[in-house]
Amino acid sequence: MRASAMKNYLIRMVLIMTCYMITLFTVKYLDQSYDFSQPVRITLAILPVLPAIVTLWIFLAFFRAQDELMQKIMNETTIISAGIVGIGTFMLGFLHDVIPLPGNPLIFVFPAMIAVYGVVQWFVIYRYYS
Amino acid sequence: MKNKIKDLRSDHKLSQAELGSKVGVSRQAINAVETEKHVPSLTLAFKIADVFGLQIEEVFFPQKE
Repeated sequence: MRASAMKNYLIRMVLIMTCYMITLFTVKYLDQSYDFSQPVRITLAILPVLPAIVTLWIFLAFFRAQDELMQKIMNETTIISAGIVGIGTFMLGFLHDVIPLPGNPLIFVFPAMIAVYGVVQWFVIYRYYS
Repeated sequence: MKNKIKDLRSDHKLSQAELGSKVGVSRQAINAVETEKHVPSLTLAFKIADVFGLQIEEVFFPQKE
């Protein structure tokens, strides 16, 4: 893993996560403080997605800066973690017909993908680095 | 894909990190190629062979089924 690419990735991620948190709390505050029309509320509700879209660009730039082994590791990790989260949410979809699930599980799909990626990555790295 | 990178490195007194630096990959990538956990791309294979002044087929050998 190249040190400069890792440094850039971490700096960009910290900045975009800060933007995400500010957007999230600002949107919540505005929605609770003012009586907006429905189109404005919808626009505000999806605003926190914008920083999340930027994280995809940051991740792609990080991926492209890696050597071929690390790219292979990242590809395998992405396939496995997408599969785990995909099958998990697929199962939740079937369960939803039998057991009413509380809250909005859709909002957890993206964070779950990130969390599962983080765990799976270490197993894939171990396979190639050991 | 079998290879004789380890022997060539030893002959040229190069560490995995030094070879990796010459061909633009990490030490771990060289180790994974040496231990046959990773089949290198054609570009990387050419670069590795070039470091030792050899043809690609003198460094890498296809594994017979």
